[in-house]
Amino acid sequence: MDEAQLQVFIDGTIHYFTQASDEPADVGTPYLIGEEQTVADEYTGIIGISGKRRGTVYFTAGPGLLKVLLMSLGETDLSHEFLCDLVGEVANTISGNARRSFGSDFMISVPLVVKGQPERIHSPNNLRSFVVPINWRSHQAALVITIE
Amino acid sequence: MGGREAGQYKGIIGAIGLFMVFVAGVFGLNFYMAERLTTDGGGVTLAGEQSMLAERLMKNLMMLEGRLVAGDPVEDAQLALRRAAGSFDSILSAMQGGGNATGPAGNSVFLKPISTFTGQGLLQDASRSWEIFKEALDPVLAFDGVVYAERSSEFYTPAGAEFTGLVESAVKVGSAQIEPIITAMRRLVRHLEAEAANRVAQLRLIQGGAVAVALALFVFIAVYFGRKISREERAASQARQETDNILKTVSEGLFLLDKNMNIGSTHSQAMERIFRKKSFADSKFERMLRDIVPEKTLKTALDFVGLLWTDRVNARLVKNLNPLSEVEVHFDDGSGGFETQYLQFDFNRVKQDGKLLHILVTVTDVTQRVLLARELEESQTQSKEQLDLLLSILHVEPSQLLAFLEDTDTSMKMVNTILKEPARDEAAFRSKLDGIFRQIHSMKGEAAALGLGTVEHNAHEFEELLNDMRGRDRLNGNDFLPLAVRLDHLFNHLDQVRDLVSRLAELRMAIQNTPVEAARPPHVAAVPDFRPAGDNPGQTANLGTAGEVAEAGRSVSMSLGTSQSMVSGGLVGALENLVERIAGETGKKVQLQCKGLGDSEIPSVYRKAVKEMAVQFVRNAVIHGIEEPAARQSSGKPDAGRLCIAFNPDPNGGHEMVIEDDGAGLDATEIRSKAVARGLIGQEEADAMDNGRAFSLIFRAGFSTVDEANKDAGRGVGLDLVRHRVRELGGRLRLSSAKGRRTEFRVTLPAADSQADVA
Repeated sequence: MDEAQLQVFIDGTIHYFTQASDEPADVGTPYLIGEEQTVADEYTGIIGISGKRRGTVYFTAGPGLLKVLLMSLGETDLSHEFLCDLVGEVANTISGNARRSFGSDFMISVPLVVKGQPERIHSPNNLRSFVVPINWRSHQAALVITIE
Repeated sequence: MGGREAGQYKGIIGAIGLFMVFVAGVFGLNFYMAERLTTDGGGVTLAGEQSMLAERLMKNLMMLEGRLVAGDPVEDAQLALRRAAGSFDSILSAMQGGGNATGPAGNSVFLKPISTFTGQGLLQDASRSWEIFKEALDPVLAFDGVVYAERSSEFYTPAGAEFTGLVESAVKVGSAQIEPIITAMRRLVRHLEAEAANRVAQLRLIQGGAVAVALALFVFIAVYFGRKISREERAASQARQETDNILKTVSEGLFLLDKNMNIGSTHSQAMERIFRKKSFADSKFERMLRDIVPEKTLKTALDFVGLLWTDRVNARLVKNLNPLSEVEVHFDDGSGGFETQYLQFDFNRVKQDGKLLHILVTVTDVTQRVLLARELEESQTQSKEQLDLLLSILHVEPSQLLAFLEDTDTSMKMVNTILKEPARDEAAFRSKLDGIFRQIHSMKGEAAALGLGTVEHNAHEFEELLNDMRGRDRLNGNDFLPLAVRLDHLFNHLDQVRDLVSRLAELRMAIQNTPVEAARPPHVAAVPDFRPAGDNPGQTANLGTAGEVAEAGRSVSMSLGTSQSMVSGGLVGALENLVERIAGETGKKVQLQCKGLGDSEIPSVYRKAVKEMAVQFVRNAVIHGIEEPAARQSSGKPDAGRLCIAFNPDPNGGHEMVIEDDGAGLDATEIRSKAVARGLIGQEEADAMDNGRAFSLIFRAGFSTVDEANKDAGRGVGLDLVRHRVRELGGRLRLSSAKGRRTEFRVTLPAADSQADVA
């Protein structure tokens, strides 16, 4: 996976924050994690990538960031269901952006939302993942990309 | 119903048809006979009425005679006589020749002629008598004059008298003829009744026979075709069972497609395994593929299958165009990911009587085959790279290589740690950049010292990225993305090196365990080095055990005792290689002298740092210090420059590392100028700087006197790295230089004991 392809997922994430709030998110310095490691916060939206390249992309955030984001969207219900929906929506935006950029050679799954630490996020073997910290206001989230 | 089924049931349909024709024939005959009986019944009735008519005729004639005697009116009697005679005559004629007759009540009836011989004879008998009687009767019937006279002396008129005579004559003739007529008619009645009874008997016989034949036919059809159908059903059932068994057992997915791309109702059981679903009923081919292949592939596949339905297209010719001949499919694994398989779809036309009915689709799971082929292809692609890699590591002493791998792994993890540290402002980003630069530069230097060209090349490309980032006015987190990608490449490359080292170690172990080895004479070395002959400079020693090497190759997290088995000879050898390579590339001659770099002479806690610093000092000295031979000659120096590295204990319990060369020395003016040009200091600061402070600029990150960076110099990282290492170890760094004559770096390190905790 090259920078351009990774950038598509990052742009999708940043785009969501730009659309959803008046304050854009910024990206921290990306780093690597091994295949057995995960960087998962309380709420995680996972999408599977297949076709020309295979892998997994997930957006993970804590309730703090998600609640503030919900409020900035004008939502007053900050319940667990709404937080799950929101993290799924972010993943969906990333997925849509990737579909537009990668075209019909790729298959991108419907987002799966996981609450709590996922046991294991399925991704191709022997691959390191790129962790892209997402900073928004005083909160942190992460975008994790594992693609061949 | 298809043609085959129609043929199968042709016999039974024919038999039932014949049966129906037979039943219809029997019904027709029955109808005809019933009609005949009705006609016969009519004949019997009319024949019976004829005898009554004859009697009535006679009675009317006699009543007319009586009236004439009594002088009563005769008109009504004459009218009744006429009617009776007319009816009798018309019926008799109709019985003989057929046609309409007037019944006794004045009604018209149609009669068929009585055709039997006896009947005709009786009618002739009756007709003869009737003709005689009729001859006498006709003048009576024709009379229309006045019968009685008006005067009392004469009872009758002359016509009346004649009429009376005619009546009397007719009575006489009638009395003689009526009896034969009545007899003939009665006999005719009996004859006709007998005929009717005979027909009834015939009808019963025919009906009985027909019922018997119908029953026989029914039994035949039931038994014959029942058996035949049963046989065919058994055969069909067996065929179905065999088909079921095939469909259950076959490992390929089999199904039929119709023209509308609908999947047929029957399919092989393997379909469920291949497509991970139970039901395909009412399913479309498009629906089956849509979830598992990309949209582009789906569209091409549907176009292809559509093409197969075109008769003019040759199936064998278009087979090569099949986009699903080996297609990658992806099944949603339910946890946000996909499970990838490879399927092969074959399409064959199913025709009957030249007409295309279906497309038979055969689906084979070729995942294993494809993966093996892919693995083979990848291994072939990698083989050249691995060969280059192999050649580059063959000449490196294993212990040095293992130590290098461990060090680089640590360095790259350190780079990753630096990347991971939170940073949101410019200073933090710049600090990260410098930290990463030092790690990568150190790695590159060591790789260069060991002659690991591929690693050095990868590290150099990494540095190019870092250098590019350094030149930017502003940095953000996203700018570091290429570094993470490059780091991943570097990790992968070193994984390959490790894998190769591991395989070499295993090979070495295998050689050790061969009987040939066991039989080797004691004076021959038991464990050959895997380096080419003559590549060992002589100062290297123990390789460690094969087990240690193998283990170290698999993982860099081996114990210190093994990993730090890098001997001083190894370091010296590496430095010599480095000097030889850089001197060769720059056209210089250098004599390297090493002292105190022996294995036991460097405390273990300093080994890595000493190695890193020695590499950087040596590179720095050869590139920046030692002049080319011509320049040296003009300065009255020998062609070959002298470079000395000494690592010695000092009286305070610490150690001192001295690097000295007899090269061009430092030019404070040039250093100031370059520092200003690179934006490290301002012109005013440069002007106010004494030579000592100017010399210290060479330890600043990003400082270099080389205008264009290459893989050996120009980044301004090497001495920055040295400065950081010295600071980390709590040491001191001093520099003295005489322009045109010499440069000396002196690193003072505290007692090794004080570093134990750090280590």
